[in-house]
Amino acid sequence: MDSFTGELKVYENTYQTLPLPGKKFNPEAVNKIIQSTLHARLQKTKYSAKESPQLIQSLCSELQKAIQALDYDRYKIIVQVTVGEMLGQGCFFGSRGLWDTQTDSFATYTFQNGSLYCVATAFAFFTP
Amino acid sequence: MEDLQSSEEAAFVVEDVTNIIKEAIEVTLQQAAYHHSKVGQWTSNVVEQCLRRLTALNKPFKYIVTCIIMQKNGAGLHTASSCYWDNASDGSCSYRWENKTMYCITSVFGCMI
Repeated sequence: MDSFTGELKVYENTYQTLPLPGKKFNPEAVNKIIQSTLHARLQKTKYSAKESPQLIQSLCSELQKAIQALDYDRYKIIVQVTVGEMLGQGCFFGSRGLWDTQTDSFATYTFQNGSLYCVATAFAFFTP
Repeated sequence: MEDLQSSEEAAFVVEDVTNIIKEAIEVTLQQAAYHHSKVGQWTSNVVEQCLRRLTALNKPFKYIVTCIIMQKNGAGLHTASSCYWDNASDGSCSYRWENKTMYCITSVFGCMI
């Protein structure tokens, strides 16, 4: 039977129950990121049933990376992107969250051009 | 020291949540036909009913419920999501429902506290 002879690191609790000042999720900053990303990627895009799934998957990962780059510690981030064809149909998006209003929030932006519309939302949960 | 909650009880159970979503949609939309003035109310009802029942499960989770109601017109719709969380404890599920005049897609994301 092997025995461990090296140094064992034990991390103490940080007892952090709120985000550090300056590290709280900022919906406005994330809104701007979503806005600029959608405009850059979709300005000249036409709706295509074949290409849309790949397009939104890559949009999702791009937005996720951009939000990670803002370095919000201890936040769990959920990004949801929806793309639909503009054919005059009625559509309604709604969402509710059960969370801690002090620390958690969301950011959203809707983009549309002649042939498609895109709604991107980012939700952030703080994990103490 | 005894564990007050086993890891199974506190996990995100996709089946239970899918049933909750299904029942909330069926109760609200039943045999309704798409009407632009009622969509807002329907979406709120579906989402709030889901949240109420999710809370009643009494699990240490934070939830997001999103609902999309779209009129049937031949138009296409695609949804995707990307989640940065702990795979062992957190989860999501989605349910698609339709009738003759509309589609309803509801998603629930749950993150353990």
